[in-house]
Amino acid sequence: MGVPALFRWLSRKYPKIISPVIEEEPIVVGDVEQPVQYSNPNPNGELDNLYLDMNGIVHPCSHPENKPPPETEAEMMVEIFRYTDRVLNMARPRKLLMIAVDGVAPRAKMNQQRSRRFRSARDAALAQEELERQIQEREMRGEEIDLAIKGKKSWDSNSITPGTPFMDILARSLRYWVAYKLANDPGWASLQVIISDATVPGEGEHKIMNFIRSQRSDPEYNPNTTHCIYGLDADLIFLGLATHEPHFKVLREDVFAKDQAQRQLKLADQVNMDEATRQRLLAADQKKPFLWLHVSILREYLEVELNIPRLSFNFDLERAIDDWVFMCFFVGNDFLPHLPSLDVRDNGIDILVDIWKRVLPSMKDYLTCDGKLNLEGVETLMSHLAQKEDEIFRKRYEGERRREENDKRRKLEREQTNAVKNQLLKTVTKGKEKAPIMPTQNMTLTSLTTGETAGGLKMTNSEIVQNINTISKANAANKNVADILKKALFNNTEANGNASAVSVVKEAEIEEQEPIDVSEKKRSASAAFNSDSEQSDAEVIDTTDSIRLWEPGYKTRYYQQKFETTDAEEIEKIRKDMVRCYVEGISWALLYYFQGCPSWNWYYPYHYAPFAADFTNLSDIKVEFKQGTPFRPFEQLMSVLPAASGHNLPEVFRPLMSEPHSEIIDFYPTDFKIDMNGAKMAWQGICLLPFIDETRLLKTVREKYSELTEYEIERNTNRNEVLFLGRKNKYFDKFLKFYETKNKEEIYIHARKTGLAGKVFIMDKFDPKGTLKYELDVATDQYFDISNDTYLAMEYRLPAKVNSKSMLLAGYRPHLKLLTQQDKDQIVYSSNKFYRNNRNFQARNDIDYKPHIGPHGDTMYTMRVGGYKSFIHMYQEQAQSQAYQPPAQNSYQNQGYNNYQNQGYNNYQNQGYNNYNQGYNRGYNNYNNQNYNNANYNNYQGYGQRQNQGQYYNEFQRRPNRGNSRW
Amino acid sequence: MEFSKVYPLQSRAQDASVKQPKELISYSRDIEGQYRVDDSQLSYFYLPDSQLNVPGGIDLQAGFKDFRANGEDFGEFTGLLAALEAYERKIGAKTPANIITWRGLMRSLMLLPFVNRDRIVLNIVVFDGQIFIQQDFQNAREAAELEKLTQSDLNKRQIYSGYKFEKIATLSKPWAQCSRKEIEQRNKLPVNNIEQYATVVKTSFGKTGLVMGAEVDCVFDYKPEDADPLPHYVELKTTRVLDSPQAVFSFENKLLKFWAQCFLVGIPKIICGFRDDNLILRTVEEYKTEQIPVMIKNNPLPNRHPSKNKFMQSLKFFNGLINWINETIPRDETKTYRLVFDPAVNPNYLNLSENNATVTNQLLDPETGMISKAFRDWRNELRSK
Repeated sequence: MGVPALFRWLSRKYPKIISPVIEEEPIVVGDVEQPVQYSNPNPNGELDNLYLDMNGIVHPCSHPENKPPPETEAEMMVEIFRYTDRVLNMARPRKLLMIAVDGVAPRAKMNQQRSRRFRSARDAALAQEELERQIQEREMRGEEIDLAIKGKKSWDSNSITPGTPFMDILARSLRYWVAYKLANDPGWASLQVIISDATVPGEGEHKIMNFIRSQRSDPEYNPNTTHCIYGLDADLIFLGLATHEPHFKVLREDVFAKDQAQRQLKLADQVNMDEATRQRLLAADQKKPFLWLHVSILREYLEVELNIPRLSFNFDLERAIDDWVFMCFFVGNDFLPHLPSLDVRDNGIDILVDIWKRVLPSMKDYLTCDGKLNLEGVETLMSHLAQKEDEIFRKRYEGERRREENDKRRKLEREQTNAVKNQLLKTVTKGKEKAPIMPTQNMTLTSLTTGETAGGLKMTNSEIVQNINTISKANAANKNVADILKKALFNNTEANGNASAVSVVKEAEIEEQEPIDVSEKKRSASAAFNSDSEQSDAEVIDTTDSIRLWEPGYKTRYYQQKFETTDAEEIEKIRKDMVRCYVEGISWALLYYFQGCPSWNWYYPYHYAPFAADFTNLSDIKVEFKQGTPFRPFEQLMSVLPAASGHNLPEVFRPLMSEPHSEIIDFYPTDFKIDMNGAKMAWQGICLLPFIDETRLLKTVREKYSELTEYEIERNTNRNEVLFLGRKNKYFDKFLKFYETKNKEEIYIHARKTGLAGKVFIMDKFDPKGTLKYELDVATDQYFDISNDTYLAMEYRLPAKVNSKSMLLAGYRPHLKLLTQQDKDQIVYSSNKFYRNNRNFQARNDIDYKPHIGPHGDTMYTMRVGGYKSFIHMYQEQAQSQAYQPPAQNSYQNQGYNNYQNQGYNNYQNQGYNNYNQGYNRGYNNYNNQNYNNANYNNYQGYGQRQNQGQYYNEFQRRPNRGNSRW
Repeated sequence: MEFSKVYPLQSRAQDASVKQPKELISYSRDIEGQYRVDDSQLSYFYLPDSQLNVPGGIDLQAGFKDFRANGEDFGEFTGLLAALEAYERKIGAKTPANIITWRGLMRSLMLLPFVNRDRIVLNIVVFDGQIFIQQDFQNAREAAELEKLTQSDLNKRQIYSGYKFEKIATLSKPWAQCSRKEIEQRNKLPVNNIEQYATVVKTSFGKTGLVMGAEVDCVFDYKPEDADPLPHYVELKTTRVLDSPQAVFSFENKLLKFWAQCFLVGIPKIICGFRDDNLILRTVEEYKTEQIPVMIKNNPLPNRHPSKNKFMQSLKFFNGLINWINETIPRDETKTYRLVFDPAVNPNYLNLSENNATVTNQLLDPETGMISKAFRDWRNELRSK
């Protein structure tokens, strides 16, 4: 998914889900910085489990975007240690830390990995050429270039794939680092660490999902466990929702922070960077802020967003959330190309959710159930989307046209103003910023009495005449626009003004200032690939103009162009097969999220997606998956790496990728087409690589296994996860005994003791009496060899797989609710476009999130009318509100009154503190107050008869309660 | 001399020294009424808050017609003694206790100073040096028949709603092992009060060791294998919604009963469902047993009849009573005794007297008496070892 796009969309629509991470500053005593104490209470609230999606750390540490990269792989490891330490000090999990590195992925994901790596290899080659050119240029100008930089080849980021030597170094380094921390950091005393490195098959984030799901199946699991996952992927938010663990949050870097001077380093800068700049960039990098994304509060928002009245079946928030997650990844996921009409930037998710809300009352059940798709429902959804498809394409086209026009116009105006400026400013000696450059402002004031002139510029008449064209054009332009442009020219900041022009200006400016995620490149599409190098191997095509999605008949043109055929029957066949595969694909993805990988070998065999209108007769499709087995690491490497990255593989395989007579050489083209498919950014183009034939590849690769060295064979095996414990852990002594008696039996542990459930057994390679050496080739006084008696390592396996259910666990106690009635009403009543203008998706500093973290109160039930505690509570509230004759002060009125009136009857947890919109609530309160007092509390007569009681309660159900459809 | 003693309801012991109850063993009764010393009928609590938001509410009288009621069950010792035997076989010795009985009987004794409308008749048998206390079946039968006559249809449904609540709030297997369908279709399951899971708990009041059998509704999360399971048990109750201060006060009386019931066997949590007059479940609340006295004390509603500390009083009364029984009853295995409280005759005293010959013979019959044959044989076996 487009990471920044989705994250931005979410934080704009649901602003309160984001909060800044409060980091403890290290105390500086004299010159020495005392390290942050892990065992101190966490200013952000306490946390049980932390999960690290390690790839989100390895990538930025090994090839960072805005600072110079580490020189050697060993230095990258040290950098990873430092960064992970920082993340851990922010989160401070007390029970469990899980480090998950991407292992061998399912085939469905490999295609995307393949296209990324092929493209990245090509980009690297281009970049290398560019670098050499720059060096040459500078040398010709007489600059001296450091020899080190000249000979340096930039590091191949494709090494971050399971099975490469780099990943092996990473695995060993992680083990070292964990042992080091367990042995030396007192805050880690009772922490349990599970490392799931690249030898354990599965994507990092999904290994984490599987783990959480497996823990939930243990009856002794604590339903109020607080979780946090670190990672940059927007998928993590959906994974958090899909676990149905309500106390969940996501930790990530704040890439949108205002004071971030996050410029992407250009090649030119890197060529001859001096030490001072280097240090400055490193220092800035240390301080970059992080964010929490609270899934618990997102659930609060979704409870309001997805609540549909008049359903023919029960409203179940967990099922509704599953449907929402499904619709979100329908719009963009890693396994399937997204439908042409759905795009996050176009509010694709909103469109789908709208349709879903309209369609659901007529359906018998939700779209999804524990990961299974209701194909009938999907068909209904698609048919509604199909009706909108034409319009979506047309609007998109019009929007683009408009933007282009505005761009052109703005450019022209800028040129004109520049000309005027150049002319006029020649005459200004002082105060260039304040100089009025618009002739309308340059009207000289002539004193009538003395004939003196004031103001104005000393422009001779001839000069004015010479520039009359530009001046008059400038005059004709809207005065406000002129203001903006002037300010923009002088200050380079955003400004206010005329809506349409400004919004264009603003958008463009923001896009330029946006710090971007790892793989985005800011050059325009075709220019990126075809500009400089003559050896342009790939041909970038863009079929947008020939398909013309905004004109009727686009469907036929689409299929004709993409599949290069005009035979209608063939197209029909392709279309049907595409739809069938796509339905399989979304079923696969859904199961992948909710139950675990359904098939390691399934993949979507096309580069494009069908149109929504093609999704007909879906109930004829039978979706079945064969589990299959994951590839081995080298097999995956062969499937995703281009020939240029062959150095990551053992030597025996390299000829298979480059020799012309290799049986599988057709899998490694050096020239391939990239289809922009209407997208703007370079990285969004689709690489038209041939799909790998699994049987052929595996056969050829496996023939070479006998030639591998022992070390290589080791790198090629899939293993179990490893559990690390410190001496203070409750199981330490028990497990140590197993080592001493060499007992290979599997021990089953339950969650009661330490919060971890699963199967544990001793590791062959671990010797409790040995030492773990510090192997990295980086001089340091911080890291040293560790004796193995300070910690323990065991092999770990998850508990047996159980069919997972999307339900809350018994004993779950909700957090203290954060959203006020005003927030909720904003979701229900505002139009879709409202939040688009809410540019402010910065993290807020005014709300204290700490009381809203984790379970609150002592019961799992919300207070409702009729109970003992609730009666007493209401009595106390009323006494309080009657005791104070409230002056027109917001705080008092809100405290007493709003508690039991505002929320209807169900939710007493909203303290009404933030309810500053008194006027808005007043009418609402009176309405509720009247009913409540008259009918329920003060008037007991009405309850004498049995029938009245029953009727009364039923009445309350049918009375429409604004925004509160729980009854 | 005719043995006859009285014990005043006003009497209080000096203190209420109670030992923390511990579970000895548990047993189950299946749908056929067969007893088994295992956890087969153990159920797990599962009723999330969101289920109470279902439109229309949860109907607690659904399935009333299919209710399978237990026949006469006045508290025979079959299951309890079978479980005790299994426990004693495990530890290879006699259970170290002075009195062996049912929790329900002890509860009614404990609350006598405050709840004293009904007649209580208990039979006491001495066997193998221990005192066994059971309800008098004759009396119980008469009381039950009387109740049946005065019971209206609504009353029957209200009683049914209690069992129904237990059914819809629990699962027969841990949550992770149940399918979605099983969890969502619980309101369609037939309800009965034959299936039962019971625990045998040992505690002591003052110098008297007391073993009680008690039915347990469900376990909150899981039953631990190697630790005391009592802290995990939950008692489920239903009652009418509270809509007036009077209702609140009468509920507090009920809370006293709940408290006594759970306190005796060390069950820490009570979950109470409130149903309206249409028997729709409206709200559910959780209480910690030890918090109940505090809750009632802190009740701010203006009370015309403020109560003295009923909890402490009951404990002290019971402490005195149970020790008195232990001391007074001679360990004569040929005689049986009767403890009677009859408000019609004398509302201030409990009466302890010997049973007549007929009743004694009935109770001491080796085949059909209070002590089951299997248990008698077992104790003989134990004695001869």
